[in-house]
Amino acid sequence: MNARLVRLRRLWRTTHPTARRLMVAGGVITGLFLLMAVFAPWVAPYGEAQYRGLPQLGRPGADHWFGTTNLRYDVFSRVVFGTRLAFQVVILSTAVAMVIGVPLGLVAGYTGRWVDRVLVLVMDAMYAFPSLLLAIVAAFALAKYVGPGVPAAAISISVIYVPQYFRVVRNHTLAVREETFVEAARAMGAPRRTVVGRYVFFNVVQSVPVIFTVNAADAILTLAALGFLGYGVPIPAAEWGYDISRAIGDVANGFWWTSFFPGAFILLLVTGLTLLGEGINDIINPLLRRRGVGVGAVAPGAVVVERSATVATPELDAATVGGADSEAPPTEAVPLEPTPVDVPAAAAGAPPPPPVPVPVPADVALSVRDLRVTYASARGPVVAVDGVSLDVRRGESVGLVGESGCGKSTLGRGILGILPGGATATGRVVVDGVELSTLSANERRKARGEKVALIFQEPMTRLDPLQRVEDHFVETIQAHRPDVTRREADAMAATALAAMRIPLTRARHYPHEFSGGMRQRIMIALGLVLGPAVVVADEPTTSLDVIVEAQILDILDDLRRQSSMALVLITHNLGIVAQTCDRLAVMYAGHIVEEGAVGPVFSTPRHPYTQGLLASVISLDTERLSSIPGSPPDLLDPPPGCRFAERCPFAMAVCREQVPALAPTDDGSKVACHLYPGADERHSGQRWVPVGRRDDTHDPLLEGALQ
Amino acid sequence: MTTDPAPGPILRLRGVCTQFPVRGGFLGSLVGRPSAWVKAVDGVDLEVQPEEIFGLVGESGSGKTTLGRTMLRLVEPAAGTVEFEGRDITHLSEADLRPLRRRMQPVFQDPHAALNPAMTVGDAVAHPLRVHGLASDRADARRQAADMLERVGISPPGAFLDRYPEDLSGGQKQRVVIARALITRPRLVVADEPVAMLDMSVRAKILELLLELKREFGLTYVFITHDLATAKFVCDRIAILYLGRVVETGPAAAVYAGPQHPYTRALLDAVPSPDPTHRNPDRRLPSGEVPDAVDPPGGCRFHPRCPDGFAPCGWEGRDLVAALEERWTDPATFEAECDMVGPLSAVQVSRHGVVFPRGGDALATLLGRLCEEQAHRVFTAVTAVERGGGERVEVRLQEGPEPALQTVENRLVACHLHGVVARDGVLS
Amino acid sequence: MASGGGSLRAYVLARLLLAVPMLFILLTVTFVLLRVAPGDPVTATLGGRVSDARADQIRHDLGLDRPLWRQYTSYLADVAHGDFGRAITTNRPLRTTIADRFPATLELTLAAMVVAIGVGVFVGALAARFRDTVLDVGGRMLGILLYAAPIFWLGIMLQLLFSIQLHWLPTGGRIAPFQEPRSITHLYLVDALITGDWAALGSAFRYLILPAATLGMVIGGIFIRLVRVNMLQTLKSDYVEAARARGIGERRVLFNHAFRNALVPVVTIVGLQFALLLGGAVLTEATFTWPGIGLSLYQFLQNRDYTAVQGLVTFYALFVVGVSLLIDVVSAWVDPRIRFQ
Repeated sequence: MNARLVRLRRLWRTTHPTARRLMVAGGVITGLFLLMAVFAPWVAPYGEAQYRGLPQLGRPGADHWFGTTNLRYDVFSRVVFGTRLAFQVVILSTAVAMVIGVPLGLVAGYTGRWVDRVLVLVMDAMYAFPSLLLAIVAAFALAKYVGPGVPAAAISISVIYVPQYFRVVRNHTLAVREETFVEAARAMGAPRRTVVGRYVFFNVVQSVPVIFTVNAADAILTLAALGFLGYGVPIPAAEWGYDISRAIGDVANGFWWTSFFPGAFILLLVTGLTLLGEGINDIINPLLRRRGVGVGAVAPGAVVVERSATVATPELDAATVGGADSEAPPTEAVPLEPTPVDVPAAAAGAPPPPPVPVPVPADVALSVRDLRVTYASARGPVVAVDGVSLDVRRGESVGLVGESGCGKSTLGRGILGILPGGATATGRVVVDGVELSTLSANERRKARGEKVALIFQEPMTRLDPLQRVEDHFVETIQAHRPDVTRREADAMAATALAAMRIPLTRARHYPHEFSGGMRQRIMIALGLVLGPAVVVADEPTTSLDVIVEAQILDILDDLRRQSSMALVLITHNLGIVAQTCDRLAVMYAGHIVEEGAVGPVFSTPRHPYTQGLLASVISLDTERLSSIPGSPPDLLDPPPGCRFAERCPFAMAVCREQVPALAPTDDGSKVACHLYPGADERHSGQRWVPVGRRDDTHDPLLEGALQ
Repeated sequence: MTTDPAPGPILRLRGVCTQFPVRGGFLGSLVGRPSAWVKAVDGVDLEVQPEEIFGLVGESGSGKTTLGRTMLRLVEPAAGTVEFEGRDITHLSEADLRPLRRRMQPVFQDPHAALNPAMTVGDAVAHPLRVHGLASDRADARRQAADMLERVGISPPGAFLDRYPEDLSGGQKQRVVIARALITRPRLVVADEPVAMLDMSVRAKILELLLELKREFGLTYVFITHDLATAKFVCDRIAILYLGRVVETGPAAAVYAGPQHPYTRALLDAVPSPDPTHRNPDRRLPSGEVPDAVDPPGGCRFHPRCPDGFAPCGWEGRDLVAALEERWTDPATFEAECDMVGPLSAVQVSRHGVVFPRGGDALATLLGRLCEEQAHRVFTAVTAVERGGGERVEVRLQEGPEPALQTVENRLVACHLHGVVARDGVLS
Repeated sequence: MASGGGSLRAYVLARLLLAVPMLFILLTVTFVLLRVAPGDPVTATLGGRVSDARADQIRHDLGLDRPLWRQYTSYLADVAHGDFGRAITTNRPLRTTIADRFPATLELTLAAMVVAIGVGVFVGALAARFRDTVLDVGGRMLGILLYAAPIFWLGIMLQLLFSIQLHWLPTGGRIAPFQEPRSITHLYLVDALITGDWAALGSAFRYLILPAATLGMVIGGIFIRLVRVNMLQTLKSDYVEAARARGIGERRVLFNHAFRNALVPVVTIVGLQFALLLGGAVLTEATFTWPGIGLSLYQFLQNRDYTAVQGLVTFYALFVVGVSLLIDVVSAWVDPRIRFQ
């Protein structure tokens, strides 16, 4: 149980501070109302129906804070007792709905077949019907059997929520049922009831609190609406909606308080519950989403779950889905979507000195100097790329390798200046003779695609599903060359697609009509259509099968040989580097630790990390397995000195104290290791120039579109 | 339960087919009848001997995962038989199967998904003991779980027993999954890509652990992987799968030394070697990707991609249309020939040929020329190009049988290059 | 492209077939709840206010003395012919009531939908674009507050302010007396526009503002949330990042990629919210005495007229099924992935 709390606390801390504040506000409001409900007889100065001796339609004042009604009720007492009634109805109705909806959803989701189909049809029909009308109809039909009162109102309202609980639980069950751990339970020979109980139910119930708060808020509104229409809990019980309906006549005469206060209470309580529900959703949903379940967008009034999910069971034979995982226990550092926290404007500190133009040789297509990328995480800034310098010549292919989380992808994105919100980059990036750091935001945007292109890992999701393939090309071309006509752009697209051997008969198809390999070829064509000087390919083949991978690599190789394009190939597969790259750079914990031509580095790796990486490759010639002990350091608090020292078999005292500098060796490689001469030089480059601080994700809409 | 392991194979599959429904959208789900079936596994025979490591190798869509699940009766085969320890388990009820389950266990690809997030590590590993009544009480189960965790390298186990899976790293989770699989002392372990989701520096450690445990417990592994290099290192015998069929199977050493199926050869060629001095620019890669298993190619399923395809491989009408589309990736040719053929949606394709509604003499001449030039391997199978009424052009193709597995150099291969032998008796 | 159209047709057909069981279920539920459950509707409605002989006569006239299954089959048959029965209290066929009053409801809901979409899409997209800024928090709070306000209460408060205090707008009704434009579509705004009756147009507009704003704002509160959440998702989607990496202008990335894709699920959900809109319309019409079906339903509910409520609810069921059908077709048309499934 303790581990549970720790987990919730961690999730709580990763939410945005504003979201946290709003949730606390919601919790406080709800809590106050709950207290008021419980202690109503002590809070209210009068009983809910006590009126003898009170003035008629008295103004709000010291005696009667909220005034009195024409029936001589004290409005304040009425709304306080109304709170009590509201909670009674809410709790009863959601309990009824849960007791019916949850088991039905579980059964339908787990057994499937006709039970599921019939139930889904019935529940969907009920769900589609206006919920208020459903409650009215239920109340109307019930009137003969159950006298008006709390139970009748609660049951009528619960009718609305049965389909909602059913839908959420059923869809969630369907998803959980397909999970591997449920299969594992079956494989261990666990009886069905154990599988459903311990493996399915326990995971499904997690979504219930979210629906509960959402439904509670909605139930209060529905109860008020029923009361307003005369089908709620009748007088003398204090019910907000009914009181408002009685007060309509008062309004016409200017007596505002009789209707204002009950409504304001509803508004407040529903707001409180909704804020609370959203907060719970923010905390619980990541738990679910991490396993690809997710309750879907929880909208107030309607728990929106994907429309009746007919889950077929195609074979998901998932080959290496790139997703690599280290032996290290997970840290919160570098969350997938770094949580923006209040980072001081220039995280690097000192104001950037004016850029010193350093001439870049003409044959260097890409020159990176002291690039430093910092993410903001909930626990503090994480320097994912720490002062990296790299040159790539025209027509050259450089492999960027390292374990996952060592900063390869961040470096790739840092070159283009497309970083997630909350990330900052400093340093110089020169592409094709143009220093990106000195450009305006708009010019830098134009440089992307025109001068430097990025090819991503997952081709399946990189094309806009609503746009035809050809339109992607036209859009890209016209974004950079506005004077190109549609016809010319079409022709350029055809040429680019043809070069990637995509049948031209399919240029006007939508992305989902293509296979993974074809989509990656489309993405390459799209990246190359403007003839950029540099292409950064971030694990371009990791999600593809081995033969298709080889096809794609051949294409990339041909391209850079035919043109003078420079290729930065980010990969974890050293075999790919050996086969297709001229040089490679090995990254570890945000640093480049070794760099050089492929031949020498593969034959005589110098850095112990490179040696370890090469030894751990499993190839067709492998005769002995080998691995690097330990795991990469936590970048939130990197060790002083060499970051690899902890795992290094040759570590010396100096390694733990001083960061080794990247120093040249006799065969033209560079290595950052104290085992070799030159490593104790001062770590160079404290002169950082901002390259692009998140202005790529956060600017022109307001400046441009909305003014 | 005394189990004197029967002599002979521990696992034997005969003609196993496993299929999944493809729902036809709304209407299909309403009627509850699938509009089509995907045959993920389509007529597989194989035997796994005690204490060997048998590799199932294939790309995505090859059916290797489904085959693994079928072996463990986690999915029902549509046809064929599965024998475990000499006993036919194909039609055993789940209740009768339960005692057998402790002797056959899976290890999954994604260790994160394989662990119940709502269960602690200790509970997860001990649960099989409780299910099978192998522990005298809670404390005993916990003690056994701790021992097994220690054995798989989770130490000290006491520090992990009460943690939830999400506090563990990927490598640690996979160790827990292995501990859970081995705690009932199974004989057969079906490991489905057990290292694919792990970082490369961790892979070797998990593989070593699996090999050690095999020696220690006398395990038999079915090792499912897409990675030929790992399979070569680990497996004694392998079977290469393509679209639900075994295309080549035999001793790993023989298969790797001299692959006899063009697909096996292509797979091996495609593996990038970490030796930069051995670059292989002359390799002949297959074209395209694994086709949709709902409607697999006729004849040899690999023929549309095969670099060595020839006339008897089972060429079909759609292959010819695909060849034209490929030809049209040259914009100039596209301009010149597209209008001649007209919209491809109007072209009728069948197993045995193509009917072009328009095109006339010009198209017939073009096709004739392509046949002469053998512009694409499909044209080796063209038996006739005929003018129909109006502008119609009909192309007929030679029929090709599906290749049977035949013995070639100490292994079985299903390829017509070794002599055209038709596969028969396949359940359809 | 021909194939695309073809599969859209097939999709529509399949969707139509699916609507049949849904309608059947709704009608059956309606019949059971409103016809079977209350026992004898005549007694339930009129109580002891009429003589037994008169009650028997009414029962016979309405066919309520036949066996239940006969009533059920003739109910279904009547619905198929567009006959929704008669009200016990007024003895008028409900078909007439619906014909008279549906245009008012339609006018109100359409106007409210325009308000809701305007508020929701604008505020929601803005909040998503400026995530975690003051604008975002403000937008979200607005969404929650609008949703949390009971419709009728919000209506009353607006009446208090704009009608009673400021005297700018009327408190209720649909148009000033004797201002009705010549009937063509029965939607006053449209009719006034077509006939060029500017006085009627002005009057209809003045009467429409408050009810439409009330209903539209409450539904708009939900749309704010939906648009925001969806837009947040598309903003961090892979294709948006890819578009930025290609150097597509930010405005285009936002509108053509993020916004367009965010609207796809919204279209589907708008369909579901339409049901909410109809429920809200009942309350709005009751508050503003807007002469629509909701007001009729309100009045029949007050009078406990079972057959009338049954007839109106049946009509709502038909309308809901029709709208959800329409919405599904629209989303299939918007999103090519749906029709290719």
